[in-house]
Amino acid sequence: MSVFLILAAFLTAGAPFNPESAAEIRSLLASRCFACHGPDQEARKAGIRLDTAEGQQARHPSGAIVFPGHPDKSLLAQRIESHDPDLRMPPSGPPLDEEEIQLIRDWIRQGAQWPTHWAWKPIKNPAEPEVANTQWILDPLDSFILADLEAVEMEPAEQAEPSTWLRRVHYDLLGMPPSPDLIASFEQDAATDPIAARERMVDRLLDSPHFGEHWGRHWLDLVRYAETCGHEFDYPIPHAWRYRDWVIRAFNDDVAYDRFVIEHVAGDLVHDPRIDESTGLDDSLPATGFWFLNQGTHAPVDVQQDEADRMENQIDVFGKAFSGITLSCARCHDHKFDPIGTDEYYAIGSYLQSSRRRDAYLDPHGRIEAKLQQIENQKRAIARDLASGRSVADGSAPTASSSTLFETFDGSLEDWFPDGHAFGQPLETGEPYIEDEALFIAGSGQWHSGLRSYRAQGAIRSPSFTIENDWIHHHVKGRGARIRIYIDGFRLNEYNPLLFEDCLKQVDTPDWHHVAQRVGKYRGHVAWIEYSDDGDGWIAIDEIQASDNSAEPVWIGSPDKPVDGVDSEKLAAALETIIAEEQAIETPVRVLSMTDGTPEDQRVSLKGNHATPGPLAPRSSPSIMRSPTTVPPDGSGRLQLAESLVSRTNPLTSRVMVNRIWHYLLGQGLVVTVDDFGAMGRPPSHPELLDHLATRFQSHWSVKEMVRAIVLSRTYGMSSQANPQSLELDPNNRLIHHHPLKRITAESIRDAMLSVSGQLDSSVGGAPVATHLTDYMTGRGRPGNSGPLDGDGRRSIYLEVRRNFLPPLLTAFDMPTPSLTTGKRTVSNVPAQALTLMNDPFVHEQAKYWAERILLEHDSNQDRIRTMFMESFGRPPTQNELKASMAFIESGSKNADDVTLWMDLGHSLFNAKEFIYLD
Amino acid sequence: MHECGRYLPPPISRREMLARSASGFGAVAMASLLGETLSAGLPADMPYLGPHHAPRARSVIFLYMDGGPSQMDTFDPKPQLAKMHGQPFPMEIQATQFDNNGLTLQSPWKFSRHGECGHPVSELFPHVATCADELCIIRSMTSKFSEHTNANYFLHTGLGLAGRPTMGAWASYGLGSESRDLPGFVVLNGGLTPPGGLDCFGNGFLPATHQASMLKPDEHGMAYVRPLEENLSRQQRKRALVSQLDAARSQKGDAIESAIANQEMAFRMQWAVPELMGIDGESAITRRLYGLDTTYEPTKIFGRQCLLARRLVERGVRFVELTCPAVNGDRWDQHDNLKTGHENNARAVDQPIAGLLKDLKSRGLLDETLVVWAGEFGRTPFAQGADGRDHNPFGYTIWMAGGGVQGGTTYGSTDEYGYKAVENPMEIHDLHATMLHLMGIDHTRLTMPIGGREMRLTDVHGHVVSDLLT
Repeated sequence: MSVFLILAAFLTAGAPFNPESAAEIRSLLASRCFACHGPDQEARKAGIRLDTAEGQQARHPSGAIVFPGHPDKSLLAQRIESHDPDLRMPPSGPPLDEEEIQLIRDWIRQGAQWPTHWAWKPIKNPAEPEVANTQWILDPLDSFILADLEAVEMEPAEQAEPSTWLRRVHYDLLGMPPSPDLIASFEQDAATDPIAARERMVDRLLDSPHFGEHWGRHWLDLVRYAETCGHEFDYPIPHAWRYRDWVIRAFNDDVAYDRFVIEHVAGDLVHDPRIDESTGLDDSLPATGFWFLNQGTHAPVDVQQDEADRMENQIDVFGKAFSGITLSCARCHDHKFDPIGTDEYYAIGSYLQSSRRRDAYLDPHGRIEAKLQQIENQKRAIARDLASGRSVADGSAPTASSSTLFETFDGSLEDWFPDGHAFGQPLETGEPYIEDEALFIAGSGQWHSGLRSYRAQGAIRSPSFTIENDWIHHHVKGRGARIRIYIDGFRLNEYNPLLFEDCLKQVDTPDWHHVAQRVGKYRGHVAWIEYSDDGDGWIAIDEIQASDNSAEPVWIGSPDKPVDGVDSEKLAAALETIIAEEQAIETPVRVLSMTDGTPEDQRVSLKGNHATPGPLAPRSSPSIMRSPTTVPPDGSGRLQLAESLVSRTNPLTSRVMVNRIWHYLLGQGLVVTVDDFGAMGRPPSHPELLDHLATRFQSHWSVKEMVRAIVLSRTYGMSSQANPQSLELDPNNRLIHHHPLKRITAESIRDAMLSVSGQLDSSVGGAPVATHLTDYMTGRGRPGNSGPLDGDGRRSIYLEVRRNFLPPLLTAFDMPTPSLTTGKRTVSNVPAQALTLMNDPFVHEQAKYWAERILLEHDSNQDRIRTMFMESFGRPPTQNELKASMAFIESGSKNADDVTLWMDLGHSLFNAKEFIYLD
Repeated sequence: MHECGRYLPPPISRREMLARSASGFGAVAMASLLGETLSAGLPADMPYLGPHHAPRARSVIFLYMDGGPSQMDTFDPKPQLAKMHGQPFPMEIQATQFDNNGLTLQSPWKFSRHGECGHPVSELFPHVATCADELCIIRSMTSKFSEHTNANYFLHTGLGLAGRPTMGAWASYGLGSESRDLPGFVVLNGGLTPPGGLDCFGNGFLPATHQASMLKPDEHGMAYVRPLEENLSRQQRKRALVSQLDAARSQKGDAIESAIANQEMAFRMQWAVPELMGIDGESAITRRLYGLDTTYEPTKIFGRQCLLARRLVERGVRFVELTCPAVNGDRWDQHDNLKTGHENNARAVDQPIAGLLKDLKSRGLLDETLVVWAGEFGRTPFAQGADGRDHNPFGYTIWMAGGGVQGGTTYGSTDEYGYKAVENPMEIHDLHATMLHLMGIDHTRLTMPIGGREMRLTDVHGHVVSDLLT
């Protein structure tokens, strides 16, 4: 077993049961036994379950399964040790090895205690352990590390050199190398008071806007961030980059992490949305965009299956990113290892079923809405004024219709969802209104987006309904507007109507007319209707019906009546000032986001098959989160779900996030499996430290505070050169006795080249830079034009993320495919990386820019070489390196001022391993 | 009841891992997953562990027939279609991609019997027909998806969504490459990237080493393999300096060491790849065999790909996949104009494929090379519109030849119209299980632990179809 276990055994030899080995036992039983003897009731064999103490100690006809204190009398021990292949457990895979058997026997002998899985237990605030070498402690967290090392008489590594520490922290916080000036001033500062110098440096780095870019990129990995849908045509995910900018802003502003989580899950529902000071836009809502960054196909033959798959991805990301649990394992059966039932999986699905995607219309400082309300009031007043005293249409009695009446817009429209600013109050029967420059009396209730201003944008959406007829009919009029039916939430027909061609209709006739949509193929599916006016047009709707043929139904409402004899000059005069004001109405900012739809609990799909529905799965948070939720009667309840994630009793959220922060800074999480805190994950190497940090984190939920505490600790400051004896005892550094060698991320490699070459454009945020296309990037959906080779010098996080055309330089260095939550990137080491660094024209180009700048800024070869080493490695060259570099420059056949010589030196430095590794 | 795979103990230490490496596949990858101090990566020259059992095929050449060739028009003759031609299709029709279903449509091509085995092959494949006795024709293949991208991901990775490792990546992960200078998994891109893009060839959650190296059948072949320096000495000078700079750091651990080794391999690849691509040394007879002397450009492109495929397996590359060249119309995706479209696509690949089979055989390589010809689905026996066929995942034809499969045999069948598999239906998972089996791999034991599960190419499915094997 692991070194950790060996050490743990060493620590506790002869001692009573060590709770830390409980985690090991659980891991072992989970991985080898739970599939047939675990939480999944349907898969359980012989009625035996080993995941609970009751199950373990239940009587079986042939004896006790686990008889505490007596391994020889326990069926579990007998069966794993049996030499008879028919009896030996587990029946498949290799038999347990001696160590594993011994572990189980010792556990039974010591009383077979079965504490709750560590991650489901409440977070405790453990006392800081006592250590002998108190000088070593800079932050309380150091005590937890040192106490374990002292217990096994291991020495921590020396502290890293100031310049090494600076390069490390600079990359870890900003993802870029420190400048030579910064190094010089820090070294000078550190010479007098090293600790204060480090504090000042860290504060300075945390204040840099590049902090949010680097840490934002970590977060984007967790939410499978991409700007297109992949699959055949790689259709866009509009406005996705607004979410990316939101993430960067949130890390830079140090938005409290509990709030950060709430805004992700339900930023559209918070009672006190944050308003961005500079733009005046709602800055809570954009976080919900993360739900919709999934891949998508354009014409699913089985759209319900497609919806179920989309939802699985959303639930998977939701479970892993915030809580480190693998919820989606419970889609087809109860979770095999963790106490998560299929009903709990589908309960999360019910939140999604009750919510919708929405490209929100953000309004700077509420100015658009205020202005439009005023205009609407003015226009209605003018209409009333002009219509007063004139004959009002007498609403004729409703005619019976052969179709199913869907909506007449006469009664309450409370279950509808108006969005944006185009639609004001619906018109009631008999109300006068102005359209273009004429006056009408509404013959029946209607919703009219022309009453405010043609410039306004917005939509109204119907409640969800089940399609029960072949045709849906609309009585509408308008210009430059559209009607859309969303079936099972499917939206990619936006780009390719195949199979959904009738679902999207343009409205471009300003007189009342009939629009029919054929939806018979989707009988039984859940749908909603959207009328949208996103340009300078308008749309009015007064009736929706459904029937089984395409014929225009008998509309039951009376027609509108034009009011004759209106003084058109008077009307024009009255409208004149309003028209002038309309020109000043701003355009809303569209943002990918989530919004509530009609509340609807979905059913469990038996065996994961949507065609075999099981019982209802009412919305609730998974029981392992230990923070029950309530569901309001008129909403999705996402806000309450979000609050349950960050409740004090939730054992996961804080632990998962501090572990992620630790992972990004120390190269390896205290829980190595950063996205899985369940039984199949690894137990924490330092459980008390994890809880100590989780408790501290909960006090302000400040990511920056946590980062600051860790990087200023003695632990973080250790050299990567391990103490030889410690290395011998614990070569895998489980006890953290040195700082691991880390490779910088793909993005940092590219950003570092831009940084040293002087080509970096350090502006923050904005629309993505088009992908640079090579001859090897082919396939459908390939953009017509290539973006610039150097990405306009922008940081890598601003390069377009097209699922089917990811940047080869970044994928070679393990930028993950955006499909699932990736809390821990692969760090591969492959020849393609070397080929890229050797022969990618971008790399050559940056080496050239670097050379040109160096030649311009420095005169002597020595200075030039020193600067290049400082810029790329954060340290001056050694004597040997200087000699070799001088020889490289001077032994060439060219003049030492020749730019190609220096370009070649720069290119060599890019290719040196030190460029991409951090000590 | 399916189970989500086999469950291994959670990651253990790297040292343990290496010590235990005899215990099976996945160990190497597991080490990189758990990170430990390995977060900086494993050495590139990490030994692979060899097969689970004696392999029948050392390499695979996967001829990917993009778009879905029609089974009724190639290897699965259906006389009943001619009888019912022009009449309403008599079976219940499942939902189709275009929902524009027409009448029963007979094959525009005649079939005749070939070889000692008497395989019926249509006029579309006159050259492949001469290799009939090598072919093990599976007429009961099925897929789960009617959409190209889902079906492509499914065919390549065993799951209908993007993000999983493709079969070539699994083969490379399980067996490595036998070449020191070339990667284990190569895609020869004829020009048509499949719908779904490069994710069809991705490493998913396997280490990036196992992703496809994309080769274009031109002079340079691979991205970034061509030195930008005007002469070798300039690159050599830099290389020497880099070695000096790195030397001081090579003691810093495995990651640095293997990065240094990778640089050496990359350097060699700059010569190995062009050497591979240089087919001028091939005899005129060989070149003719592959159709390189024809006038139809797509045939020449695919011929070059097939010839390169042979050269790759000769050099020990484990898994070679070929994508189709662009013909004048579309890939094998004839939603209309079946006749012209299928004729163009068949013309592009027929002679090169026959040439490949014959060349491999004459060099004694066919016995140890598994050749698979497959699309992501087949086509409907009823028309789409008037003269096209829509996607059909319910029953279609693929074939295998070479290493370990019974040539001259047929497996499974479709109904009398060729619509659905009725006898011995075979799943994509079964195809994967069988391919891995032939390579010496037990598909249930080639795994990677992700999110608490032992992931595998065959997910929780798949059976080795032993009837196909010699």
